[in-house]
Amino acid sequence: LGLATTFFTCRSRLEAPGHIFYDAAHRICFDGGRVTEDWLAVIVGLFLAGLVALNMLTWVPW
Amino acid sequence: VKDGADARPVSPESNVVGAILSFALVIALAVLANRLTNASKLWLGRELLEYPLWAVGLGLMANLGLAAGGARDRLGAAFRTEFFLKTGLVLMGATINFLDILRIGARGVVQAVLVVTAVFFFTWYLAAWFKLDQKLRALMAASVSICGVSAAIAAAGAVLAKKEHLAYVAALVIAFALPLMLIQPYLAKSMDLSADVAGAWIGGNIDTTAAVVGAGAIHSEAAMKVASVVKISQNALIGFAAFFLALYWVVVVERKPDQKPKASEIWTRFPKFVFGFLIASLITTVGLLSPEQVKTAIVPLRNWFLTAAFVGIGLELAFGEFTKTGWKPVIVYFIATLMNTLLALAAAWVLFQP
Repeated sequence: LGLATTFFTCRSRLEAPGHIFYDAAHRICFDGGRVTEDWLAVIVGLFLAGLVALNMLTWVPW
Repeated sequence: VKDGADARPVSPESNVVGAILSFALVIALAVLANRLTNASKLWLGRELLEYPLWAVGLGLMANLGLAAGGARDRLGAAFRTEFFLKTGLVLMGATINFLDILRIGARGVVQAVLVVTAVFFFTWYLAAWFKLDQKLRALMAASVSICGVSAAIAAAGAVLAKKEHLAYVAALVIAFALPLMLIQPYLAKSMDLSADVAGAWIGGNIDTTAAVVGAGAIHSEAAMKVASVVKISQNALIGFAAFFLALYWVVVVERKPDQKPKASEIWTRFPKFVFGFLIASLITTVGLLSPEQVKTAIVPLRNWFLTAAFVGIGLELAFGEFTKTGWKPVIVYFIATLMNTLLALAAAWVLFQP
């Protein structure tokens, strides 16, 4: 999550071809190469739901 | 709002450090909100305040502290309310049966079309009566009727509004949403509304989605789910609203019919997190997630993301914006919100009464 958020928060300021964040964003390539908050939320949310469904994450403190 | 902040010339290194520090701040405040909620349960036998209120309160306090110390702009990188909120909503999808989403969502769309249309035009003409700038009118009408800051951003794109107008409306949306988030669930309880009606009222009235989820959570788990589905139904209309607003703008206001917006605008503006919400719900509905897994892992995860979002709305409120545009827009927004509250209650009562 930390990585994803850092990646997202940096992309708007570090957008330049060849930069790691820019290239990663284009590899995922949603909405013309810009990873929007919407798509990132879908990826992170479903990834976590998948971990739970696969029993790789069984309990979270609250 | 973010564009204005992003335009500042800062080095990539300081951005990365700022992003990490601000992310740590959001997480620390979310953990503190959770600890305070649990501690009050332990000491008093009940929650002194619900977790959304602790989170927003701590966010507001940190906001004031950072602004006083001049560090708010430098530490704003991870105040990503929308991201935390939408991830929380995707996870919330996994806690709701797909058939319930269809049942609530169908009525939510009817409610949204009726209330959004009425409130949009009411605010549009009210703001004209107060002689507000035409583009500011469009932003205010969209934000008060549809879904707060996201709608204001979509409307700003449709009418090419000024950044200052957008920043102002965003501050206005949050300033009105916070008291409503506090008052409306208690009002719904005192009126003895069912969870469905209370949720539909909250979802149909409060502008910003984070405050809708917060108000729903303060009322009850059931109301939070209904409020979220109703609000998501409204959010899904944003693409159509932005398209028709842009069409109206170029044809009627600017009289440039040759520059009509493309239908692809509807897709561009569509909130894509809705797909994640629906897929997560299907995962649960087909049995890939058991009720036990939802209870022990999905619900706590959802709550953590939502808590971070609530901290974010406290952190993002820009108090300074109110001094820039005067009080007329505040009065318009207040009257429009009252109108929205009454209409949404009537619609919720008719459409969601069991």
